[in-house]
Amino acid sequence: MEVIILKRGAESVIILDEWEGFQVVVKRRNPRSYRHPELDKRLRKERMRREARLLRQARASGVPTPHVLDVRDSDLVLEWLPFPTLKEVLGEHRDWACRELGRLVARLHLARIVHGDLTTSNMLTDGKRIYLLDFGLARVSESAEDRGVDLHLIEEALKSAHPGMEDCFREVLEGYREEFPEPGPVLEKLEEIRLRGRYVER
Amino acid sequence: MYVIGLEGTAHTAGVGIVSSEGDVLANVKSVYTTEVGGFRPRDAAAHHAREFPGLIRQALEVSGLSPGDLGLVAFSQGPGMGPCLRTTAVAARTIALALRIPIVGVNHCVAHLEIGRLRTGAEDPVMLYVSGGNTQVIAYAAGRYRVFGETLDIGIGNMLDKLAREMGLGFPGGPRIMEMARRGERLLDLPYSVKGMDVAFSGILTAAKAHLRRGARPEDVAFSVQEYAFAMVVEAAERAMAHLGKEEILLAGGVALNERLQEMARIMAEERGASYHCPEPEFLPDNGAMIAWTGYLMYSSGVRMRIEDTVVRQNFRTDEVEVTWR
Ligand SMILES: Nc1ncnc2c1ncn2[C@@H]1O[C@H](COP(=O)(O)OP(=O)(O)O)[C@@H](O)[C@H]1O
Ligand SMILES: [Mg+2]
Repeated sequence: MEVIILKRGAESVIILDEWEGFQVVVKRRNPRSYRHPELDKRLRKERMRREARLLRQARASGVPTPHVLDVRDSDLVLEWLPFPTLKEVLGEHRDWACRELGRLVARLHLARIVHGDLTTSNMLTDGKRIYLLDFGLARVSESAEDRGVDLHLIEEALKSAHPGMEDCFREVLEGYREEFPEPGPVLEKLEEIRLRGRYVER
Repeated sequence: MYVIGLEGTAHTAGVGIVSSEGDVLANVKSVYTTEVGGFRPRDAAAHHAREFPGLIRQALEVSGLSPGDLGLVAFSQGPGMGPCLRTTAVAARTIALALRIPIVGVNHCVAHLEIGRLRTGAEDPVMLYVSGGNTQVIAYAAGRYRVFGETLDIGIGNMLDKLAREMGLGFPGGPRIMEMARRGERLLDLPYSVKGMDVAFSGILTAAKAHLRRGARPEDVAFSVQEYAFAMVVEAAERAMAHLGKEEILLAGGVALNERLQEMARIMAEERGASYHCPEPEFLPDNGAMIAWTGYLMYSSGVRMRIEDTVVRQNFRTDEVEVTWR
């Protein structure tokens, strides 16, 4: 059968495939030969397993994600969600999507998951819901620091990939506050992270 | 037109002269180093104040020009250490007033990118900028150079320096770690910390110190730290390329002199079907030519500054610069 490559992601290829008569996607992490082979193997295996586990947990906590159908070797078999990425269509949905995104991230954090790669390429939308993808860098964590980094990633992604949509991040924070009880420490960390890292003296 | 550029954001006092055609006629520098203890901005500033007059004379000599041939002076306005920036600005203002030529302040990070484009022919690259205090992934989007990823704690060069000090290798640590790493064999376990396009290094440093305490071979520690830290920054750059759909990688900053980092970035580009760009060694660390060239690009696209506009900007952000020349 001919292989249809749907997308090339940051670290994998997304292949359209059939599974028990259904259309599915296969996420395949290809080796990176710039990395030491031991390190590369370890990272790919870790990320694959973690991604499967955390996709399931996120879904169980009310965050829309694709169903995980199978995990084999370095392949993840996922439900196909035939929707555009939020990166492509954020402009059309900004009236609801920004706040909704904040709520989803809060729900994720309440489930003790930090995503680790919250760019708009890792989100799909059907116009009613936002689906979170790509849990390859996600981790179990309850620290305000990690949660702050998640929010910072969204802010940076919006600033860089969606210039002129600065107010979107304000909405994200509104949504986050709505859903996350006592967001104070996380928002303080966010402020700290913003100031740090630009130019670090020894 | 000939442009003189003064770089002085941190350790390096650099003076470069370029022509409007993009020829680099001179690029001289003097680097402030400390064998022991940390970096003291005030001492570095004093070093720059001492060195600039001689460097300017030397640059003119190398270029074969006389002061009267210069049509513009550019200087590094930020980001950087306050005392160093102020010393550099004073030197530039003095030249502007004495020769009655215009002056422009340049963003240091943007200058790294522009000299890289000039020297390598890269058009629209993702730049991986790795130096002592800076670790950033920068690319052009909607009229600005924007930071897509960066270190969440310490700069990669600072991490290598600290590790070198721990091993008793002295300063600057980067080259000495590279030497040691050549003789490393075993990959030790370290934390691999990539968060989106951001990275963090303090975990690696802590774990590396623990390995040393437990008696690991220093060569293996140096080797493993390089393998982890460089893979992390190359992955961050790769993620930015995927996210932005860009097909060129450009290296910048002193740490990019490391041959293993260069090798990793080149392989990454090859595997993506992208192209790899790295300027000649003299243009990787801080240098005056990059300031001169970026000053020229700004000036020729209409940017003008009065002396009052040349106050230094310690926290000058890359995305505050309106890129008028592209
Ligand atoms: N289940 C899915 N249904 C539809 N498209 C998907 C699905 N999973 C991934 N994609 C598409 O593939 C792209 C890359 O997938 P992602 O999981 O983010 O991989 P990477 O880790 O390589 O970035 C996404 O941006 C999205 O467009
Ligand atoms: Mg992705």
